[in-house]
This record gives sequence, C-alpha cells and structure tokens, in this order.
Amino acid sequence: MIILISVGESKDKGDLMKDLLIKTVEFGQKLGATYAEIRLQEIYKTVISTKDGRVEVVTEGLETGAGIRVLVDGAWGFSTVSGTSKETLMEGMEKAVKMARAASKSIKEKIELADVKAVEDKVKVKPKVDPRDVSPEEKVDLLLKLDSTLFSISNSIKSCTIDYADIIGTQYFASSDGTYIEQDKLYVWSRIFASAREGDIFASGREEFGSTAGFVIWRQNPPEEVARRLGERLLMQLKAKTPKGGAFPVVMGPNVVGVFAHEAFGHLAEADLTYAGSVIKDLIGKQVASPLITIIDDGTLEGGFGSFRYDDEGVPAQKTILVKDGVVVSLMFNREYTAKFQKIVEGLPEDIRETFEVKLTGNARAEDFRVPPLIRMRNTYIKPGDYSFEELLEGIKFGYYVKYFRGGQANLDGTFQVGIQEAYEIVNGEIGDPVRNMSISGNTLETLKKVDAVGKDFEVGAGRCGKGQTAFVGDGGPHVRVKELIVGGEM
Amino acid sequence: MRDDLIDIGELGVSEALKRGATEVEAYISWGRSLGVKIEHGQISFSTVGIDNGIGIRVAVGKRVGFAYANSLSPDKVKEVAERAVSAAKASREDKDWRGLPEPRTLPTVEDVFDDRIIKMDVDEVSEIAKRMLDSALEYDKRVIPINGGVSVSYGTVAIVNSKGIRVEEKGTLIYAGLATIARDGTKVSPVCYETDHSRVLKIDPEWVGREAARLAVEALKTEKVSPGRYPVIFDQEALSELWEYTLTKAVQADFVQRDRSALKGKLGEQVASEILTIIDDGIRRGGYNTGSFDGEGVPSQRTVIIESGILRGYLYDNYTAKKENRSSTGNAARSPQYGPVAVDYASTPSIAPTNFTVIEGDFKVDEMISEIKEGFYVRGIQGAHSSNPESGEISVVATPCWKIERGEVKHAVQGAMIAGNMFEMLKRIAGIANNTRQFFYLVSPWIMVENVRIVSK
Repeated sequence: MIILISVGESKDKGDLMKDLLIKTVEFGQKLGATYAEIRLQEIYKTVISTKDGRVEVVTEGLETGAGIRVLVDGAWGFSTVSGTSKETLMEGMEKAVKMARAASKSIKEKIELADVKAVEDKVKVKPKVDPRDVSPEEKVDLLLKLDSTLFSISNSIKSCTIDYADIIGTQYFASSDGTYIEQDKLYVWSRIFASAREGDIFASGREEFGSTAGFVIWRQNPPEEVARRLGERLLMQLKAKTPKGGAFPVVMGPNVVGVFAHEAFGHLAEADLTYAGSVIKDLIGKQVASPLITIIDDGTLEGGFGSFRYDDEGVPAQKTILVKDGVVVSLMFNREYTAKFQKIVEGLPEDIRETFEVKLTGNARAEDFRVPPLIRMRNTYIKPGDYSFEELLEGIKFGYYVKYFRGGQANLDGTFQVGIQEAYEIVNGEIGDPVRNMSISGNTLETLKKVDAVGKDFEVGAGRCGKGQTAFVGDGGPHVRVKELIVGGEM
Repeated sequence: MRDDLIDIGELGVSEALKRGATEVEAYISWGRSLGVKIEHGQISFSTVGIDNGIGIRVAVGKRVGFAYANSLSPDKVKEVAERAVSAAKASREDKDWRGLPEPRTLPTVEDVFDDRIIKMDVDEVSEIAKRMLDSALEYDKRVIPINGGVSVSYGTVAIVNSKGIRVEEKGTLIYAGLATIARDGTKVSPVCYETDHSRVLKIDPEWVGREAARLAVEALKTEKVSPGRYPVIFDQEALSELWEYTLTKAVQADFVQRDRSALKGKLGEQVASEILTIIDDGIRRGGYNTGSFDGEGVPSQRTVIIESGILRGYLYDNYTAKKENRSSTGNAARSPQYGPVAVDYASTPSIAPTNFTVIEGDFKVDEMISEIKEGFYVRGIQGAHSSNPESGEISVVATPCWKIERGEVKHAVQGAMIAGNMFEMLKRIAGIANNTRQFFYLVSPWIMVENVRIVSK
C-alpha cells in the first residue's frame, strides 16, 4: 500500500504515482470501461478572514483525494474518494464502473469522445513570489493594512470584510488514452466587501483579484491603493443619485465588459449549453454581433486567473476565438461535445463548415476531485478596437458610463442582467454625476449588434464562476459603447 | 454510516489542548451521496462519492485558528490539531472573543432521517429520475429537459468541544430537480426549473417533470409590456432568490452589529405589512435545514423574526450572541456559499437562516390572480446576487415571468426588470396565499406585493 504523506521532492514519488494511476486505469478497462481516467489531487489551502480590523480566523486546509470517471456502454460513471491508497483507488474505480453500467441501461444516444493525442508531461509552476514564502503573519498584516487604510478614509465607512486564500497543490492525471500529466496548481485570491452609511443611505462595494502568477498579485494591488479605490467608490455612492429607468446609450468599462463577455455571451457558447438550446444553437458560423466585436476565451493568458496548461481531460489549453468580427467561429468544447458537434457540422452547408471550427479547446474543468469536469470558461474577453475613451463618450447627449459590476447573470434565451456598483451619467459627451443602485439588462445578441465603438485599452480581471461548481476565471476587455441598453431605475 | 465520530472528535480536542490551545472545537462529518444526472433528455451519468473530514477550531487566548483535512485517520487528526494551533498563533487577538459555546439541552426533531434512503441503490435512484424525465417528455414535444437529476445523500455530523459539548446526529435527503427549455421554431423559452426535495423518502418526481415542462411551454409565448407600477405575485423560487441577498442578510446579527443592516435599531417597529409573519424554524418537521443542533453544537430553535409586520428578532451564532450577552439562536451554519471552500468540515461557522418560514394567509392562489386587473406573476429572478445587501436595493430581471390581465395569466414577458427597495416592498405586501411549500431554505406561500416598479423597453 502506498500512502502519500506530503508533496515533498522525493525522486521516485512521481514514478510511484504514475504506476499507481496507470494500474487503476487498467483495472477500470479490465472491468469493462471503454474509457477511464483518474485525477488525483493534493491541495494545501491557507485562508484568512478579517472583519473590521479583527482577524476572524486563520485557516489551514489539507485535501487529498481522487475523482475517477469512466465510460461503459456509452454512459458515464463517476466516483470520488478521499485518500490515495491503492485499495481506495481500486475500490473507487470499481464503483465508477458500476455507476456507468447503471446509467448505460437507459442510454438512448451513446456518449462518444473526440480523439486526443496522448500526452506525457510534468508542469511545474514558477510563481513570482511563492505564497509559501510569505508567512501567515505577513499576510495578516497586509489585510489589516488594507482594512485600516479604508477606515481612515471616512467615518461613514462602516464595515470591511476581507477574504484571502492561497491554494497550492499538484494534480496527477492518467487516462486510458495513454495520457499522464503531473501539473502543479497555484492560485492567490482575495475579495473585499465594504460598506458605508450616512443616515438612511447605504453604500456597498467590492473588489476581487486573483492570479496564477503568485503572490505578486498583492504587489500589483498594494493594500493602500485597493482601499483608496474602494473607499472613493463608497463615498461616491453615498452622494450618487438613482438612475432613470429605460433605454439609453451606455459605455461599459473593461470590468463590466468582462462580466458581459463572460455572463451574457460566454455561457451561450459553452458547447454543452449551446447544444442544450442556447440562442446561438442555430447561429453557429453566422453573424451574431457587430463586425467590431471579437470575443476570445483564452486558457493561455499569462498569470490569468483562468489559465492552465492542461485541462481536466488532459487536453492542452488553447486560445479560442469564439466570435471573429461578429461571426461565431467556434465554441468552448470538451471531448464529449467536440464529438457531438463534429456530427452536427457534417450536416451543415459548406460555407458554415468553412467559417465554424470544431476542435478540442481544453475547456473541461472540475472544481476539485469531488466532482467531474464540466465545460467552463477560462479568461474571456473582448478584443480591443481603436477608440479612445473620449471618442467613445463623444456624441452621447445623455447616457450612462458603467464602470464596476456587482454581479451578473444570463439565461439561455439570451437575456442578461449585470448589477453595477459604480456608474456615472454621461451628459453631452462628458462624464457627469455618479449614479447608484443601477443595473443594465437586455438581449445579448441584440446588444452585441448595437455595439458601435470599441475602445483601444485592455484590462483583464479575476473572478469566480458558478455552474454547479466554482471555477476560477478571468474576464475583461476594452471600453465598449452600446447604442442602447435597458437601465433599471426610476421611471 | 460510521459510529466513531465522537471518539475522533475527542482525539482532536485532546491533541489540540496538548499543543497549547486554551479552547478547542472539533467538527467531524461523514457523508455519502449517490446521484443520477439527466442531460439533453436522457440519463447519461451516475455518480457516487464519500466525503469525510474534520475541522478543528481552536483559541489560544483570544487568537482563533482553524484547520481541516478530508481524512479521519488518527495521524491526520493530530496534524490538523497541530496546524490549527499554529494558525491561531499566526492570528491576532480578537478582543470580542468570549469563548466557545457551553452545552445545552437539545430539542427533538422529526423526519430528518429515513433508513429507506440509505438503502437505495443506483437503479432505484435511476428509476425515480426516469419517471421525472418521462413525465416532462410526455407533456409536450417542444420541451427539452436540458439538465437535472435525482440524488440521495446521507451522513453523520458530530461536534465535540472543550466546554463539554458532545453531540452527534445523522440525516438523510432526497432531491429531484429538472431544468427545461421549450423550443418552437426559432423561439426559445427561458430556462425553467422545478424541484422537490425531502428529508424522508417522499417526493413526487412526476410532478417535478410535468411542472418543469409546463412552465417552459407556457413561457414560449411572449409579448411586450409597458413600464409602470403594478401588483406582482412572487412565488417561492423568486422570493428565495430575492431574500437570500437582502432580507435574510439584514436580520443576521453580524450585519446588524456591523452597521450593515437597514433593520438595525428597529426591533419593535413596524418594518413590513401587518399581514407578514416570519419565523426562522430550525426544528421544522422534516425541514431542509432541520437538525437538533447547529454548526457549533448549539440547540436549534424557532426564532420569531417578524410578527404581524413588527420586527421581533435577529439570527445569532455564538460569537455575535456573546457580544450582546445573550444566547445564540442556533443559526451557525458550516457551508459558506461564497467562500473559497464549500465543504462543511472545511468551513468555520457563519450565520445563516435555517428554515425561513412565512406564515401562510388564507388567500387561494386562484383568488389572488383573479383579483389582479393588470400585474405580473414572477417565478424566477436573474441577478438577485447583485442586490445591495445593506440598502435592500434591487435591480433584477424577472424570468420566467407572466403578465396577468383581468384576473387571468395571459402571456410570458421577456426581459422585464424589477427595480426598487426590498424593505419598501415588504411594507407593500397586500396578499399572502395559502400554498406553502419548502424551496430549500425558504418555507413560504406565494406573496403579492403592490406598486412594484417594472422597467421594460
């Protein structure tokens, strides 16, 4: 029995692991699996929470376990186990096969996987400042510095909640296609919620940042600067007016463009949701947006919160162009949906087959070993154009500039909503008074067609996306102008 | 099921005390789940998993640390105890820390455990999923069940602390849910969702399938609406979304103490329509979040929040209660919804409602609809998480949503927004129906609110 005690550097550990995983996969094949994979993880987490200047708790977490997924007679089975002993893994494989066999009894359309090239690789991370080299005391100091700076800005600031997490570990992946990958994982993430109050007027704001490049993200976001950004936003909200409700021209900042690219468009182009009937199902290969619009989901962006080398099916992450000059040219795929769409495009006209490409994009991601991978976004953004910010504002008699989002959501029918925490009126081509409690909504495709100018700046931020599981993602873009969007507010 | 969780907890407590902790709490859980998934109109996936772990919270003086691992082996328990103590030492003193909770007598709760759920195998779970799926497919050809499933889960939780708490409880849950869309030519309905869940083996999968299908079909026909102020009926799904980010936060003691609640300082005042009474009922028979104790081993209870429109109380955990020299209301939960970890043993306690219960009125649903000349019925809310939790301001899309004209549900509405303030809306509640059901944390009938601002193009 092999028990793994630590992620130490012992030389033969990798070989032992490889041997163990391959044996487990072979056992699955012997039991009748036509495809088998095992994804074993060792994860270390440090989490710190502070509230209003007090450290609520410092947490250290250890997780070791495996997710095992197999195909039997065209149906999926999955089992998750804690621990990594040979007995545990073999038992887990046996259960996964049993699960798949049960599901196969009622399968109508058998699941097939697109072919992959077998890969053998070891991916080591070289963080810019390893979070393990920063003591917990130092991390606490940074958070408290941010907190105290924020409170020093104004007496109206009432609360500040900071969550910090670093997640470090190694993932070992083996599949019956002959792939074996050892891949280090490293994430540093922080989120700050703050609120202010003056009498009956409340304001709230948030900031979030994260990186796969290391603790350097805290050097790029010095606590004083984050506090100032947040504090100014809160004070502005206290003085802000509520928006007029109705349809107006809107200029979106990169932060809002990012959530729009992700929520409003991105989900529609996740191949499983497209297949399920999202509004772009019948529009692949066709014009859906203004020719100014190019949307990219990029797994290779350096340091991006959604970046990685191989996805959780062992497929190399790609930079995937989803919309090129307004035309849907690809989707985000995993192996199952690549196979499904390969069949779909066979029946489509020649011109669409020429513009629309079906290939493995590396979008299969699982939150951890407890769950099977799903099609998830990585770093999703709109490509910059050539307008300056001033040019974007020009000619708008009355409209809104939406700078930072609070949250966003979309539906497969193509309606989206993005709540805004920082917004301004645009009056006669200039930024005017601040506006609070506003949100924008509309139909994604109509909105993309109404984009009439794209800025030349570019920014990508970090976020987390929920689709039953949480995924770390990045999103962003330049400033973008839309001729008309619905703004929720006073009538 | 495992029956040694208390022993493991005691080991964790003694190991941490040995290493310098002044107070220790061990939370241990073991759980198994079995699920069958539906994708694109067929059952194509089944899953099984066992998860277990221990989370140890320690205080070293007034410094608090926490560590966890997904293992219950004695070696790991010792390592977790060690790490919790070192985490506490890296922390800072919290002057408001006044210790872990003391033991109290636990209430008896009913219908939270069913042996029949434990004994179910994957074929039986599949059979239930198949019944749900078939009834959706049979309802109408235009219906596409896009995803859903049936799952059973069961487990045991134990809490041991150095103040003498030693509690253990087992629980079961069965869940069925289906999301559908309907497609007619190029017309696509919004995603419609229905669910039934129960702590004992008593669910109606055919009803879930039929309802999910009916909603999608009825959401196909849409017409434009004029903006304005209308009466709006919210059903359980819509209310649970809207309140999750506004009302339930405003009654949490941490929000109140930190000046983040619009309901701060309003105890005894009229904060809602006098027909509204809300009780957080932690001991509701068979409730989704029912248990005899909370995430700190404190007894669950019924807490009156709003009585005939008057604010009566807030929800407390041990920490916020001790700050006010009172007792916890048993509202410490273990799984944060937005933290970087989402497993119970991996999280420290935070305040959350249990079974947030609206006392029903005597309005029949049909009567409620028939009394509306022009208004809306809202089932789902998009963007509720972008609400302002402090002020209660909301600006969300209502979907799926239907227009009511002259007492009848006429057609669906696409992209209508609701803008306003949830705390103002509470005062304009004009009708509470008698169709109570539990939708996860919320137990409520339909509620009608007057004068709700609808924004549309």
